[in-house]
Amino acid sequence: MHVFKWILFLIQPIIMQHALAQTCCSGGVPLANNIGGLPISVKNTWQFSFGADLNVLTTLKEGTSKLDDRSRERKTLSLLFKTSYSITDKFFIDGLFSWVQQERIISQPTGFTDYDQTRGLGDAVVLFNYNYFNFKRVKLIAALGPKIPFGLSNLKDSDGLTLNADLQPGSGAWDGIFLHRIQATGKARPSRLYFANFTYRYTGVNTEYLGEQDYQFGNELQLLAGVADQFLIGTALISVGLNARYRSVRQDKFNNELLPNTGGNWVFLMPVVGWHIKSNMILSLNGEVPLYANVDGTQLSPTYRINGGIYYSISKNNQVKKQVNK
Amino acid sequence: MNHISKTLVAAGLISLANCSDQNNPNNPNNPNNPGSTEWSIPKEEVFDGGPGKDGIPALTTPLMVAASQATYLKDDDLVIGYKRGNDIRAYPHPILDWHEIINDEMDGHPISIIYCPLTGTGTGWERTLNGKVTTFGVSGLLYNSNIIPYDRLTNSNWSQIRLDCVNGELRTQRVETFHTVETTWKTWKEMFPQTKVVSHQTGFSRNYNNYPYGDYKTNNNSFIFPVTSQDNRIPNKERVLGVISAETKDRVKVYRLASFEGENAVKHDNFGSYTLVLAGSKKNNFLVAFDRTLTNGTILTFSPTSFSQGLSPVILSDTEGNTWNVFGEAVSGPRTGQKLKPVISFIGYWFSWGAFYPNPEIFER
Repeated sequence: MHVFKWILFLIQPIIMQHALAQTCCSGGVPLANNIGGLPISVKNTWQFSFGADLNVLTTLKEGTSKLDDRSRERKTLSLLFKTSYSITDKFFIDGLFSWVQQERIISQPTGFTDYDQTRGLGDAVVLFNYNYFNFKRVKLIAALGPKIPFGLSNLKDSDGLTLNADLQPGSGAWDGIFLHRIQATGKARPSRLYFANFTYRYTGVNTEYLGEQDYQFGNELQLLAGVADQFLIGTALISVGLNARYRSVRQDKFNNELLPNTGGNWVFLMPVVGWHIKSNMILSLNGEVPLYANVDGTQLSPTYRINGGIYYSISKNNQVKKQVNK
Repeated sequence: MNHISKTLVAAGLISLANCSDQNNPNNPNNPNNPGSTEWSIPKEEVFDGGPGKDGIPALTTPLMVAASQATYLKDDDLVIGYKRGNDIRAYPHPILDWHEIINDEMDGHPISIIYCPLTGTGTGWERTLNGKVTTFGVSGLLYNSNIIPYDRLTNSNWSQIRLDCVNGELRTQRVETFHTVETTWKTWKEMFPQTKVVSHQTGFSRNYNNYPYGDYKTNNNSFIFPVTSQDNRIPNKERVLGVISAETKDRVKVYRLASFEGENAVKHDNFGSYTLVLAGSKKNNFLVAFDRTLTNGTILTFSPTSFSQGLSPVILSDTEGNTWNVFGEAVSGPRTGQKLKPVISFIGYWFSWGAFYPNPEIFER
């Protein structure tokens, strides 16, 4: 069981990093892509992580067709601070706080270029997690919580002109997030972890968009499934995994009317690697590339994503360390 | 192990370096910023449209093809037509929906067609500013959902529906317009079978058979950006011809295409100093306006020509025995070769006229 918890410790940050996302027609507010992710741990354990997430969109798509146009590029860089506290062995609370930089780069073949950038505090997420089922090698966890609109959603450019929703670091709306995950360890190889997550994000309405307008990002469903295992390479404990993610986003709404060229369906492949550098410290790195995209209308669609971070835990009763030392 | 650690740390945090960006657009020295922060319109109502400056690429001197080669166009697609001498060209909405501006040359004369898909307004602009030729680009900004073109000569921003420069070195300068005709491809090519039309080979990868804004042009409740005032007398997306007053340029009278029944109908009206003749057809989907007072003070009285022999560009006849085409050119009779004075007018969605010229007068007959 102790080994199992440590596997989770290793793997879960990676598993959960892509649980949610804003609409993909843009760099979007990246917070939700990184929600959750901290492992189930024993009572009275604090966990922290600090990471960076770079999401790059240069692929222009119409439906499933890729257009031969790379004149527009969107980059979203997020600095993410996550923390978690286990109130009991089964109940824990996650918090995720962000700082976001959005870039929009135009580079037309005709030579015209443009560059815009915003940066600032992003939104935050709090998730209340409950591990409600444990039987042999299987765990079921349900989580519920809000996305809190700490981030600004009315940033202006240097000329004092209000920028579009997808360049804002915050969404300006409260969202409700439900997450359910199932995970199981391998029978023959306990270090192997199989998992599947279901996530639904019910989006709220920003009622102060461009003055007094209503803007609502599309509701979103995600299914994430993957397998991960760990290996000793020399003296280093390395975990590797491969995840697949399906993401379906409804169209955004402006004043309750559907917005064209927003929403769509995507499938991503995500290789992950983690290195347990100390008993309570992990470095992780993952990439993500789209395997399939079917966007509504014509949109910039994700081209690749890189996410890296460092995780650290402190257990008041030192149970975690003891478990590892055993 | 240390090596791997360093590599992972470097990889994971590589993007942190981007935080110390050296090309912050907030830097006033950024050449992409307009030269002036003063606006003639409420700055708080000017919004970034999303794609960014030149994110919607304007076309310049696009490839033109014969009507028979424009197989990508459907008969009911709208086009903006322009005739300069014997050079006749059509600028289709399916192209303009994606590019919004076409900088072109007709007989060596530089022009721009400016089209805003969100307000449904298409205008012809001269692109010689203070003696210098420029091109216009799409600034990516919107005011009352309407395109703000910028000129590449001074980087100044212009308002399409106001027809003036609203920000930058040329602020307050009015643009020179020319008379265009908006109609369906079917009507246009029947009127002008010799027309040239923009090819779908634009050099950009777009699906010109696909309208990019969903149900926007038919859904009266659908807006993508705020509009300051809305007037419910006419459905928001009904296409109407707006005539801008000659004197103050701050009043508009609108004419509903739907009120021009039959193949070709003609109506007379007065608006400010204009003594107007309007010719149009809901069925054939065109509506144009001219001042029927000639430069010598003569006021002509018009009636519609018959299309019994098929659609023709000749739409007006007068009591002097002249006939006139859709560009206000006398093509037969004693005044052959003369032109009616154009008025500042173009077609747009009803809501856009109310947003720019509050409480516009509506022609009721």
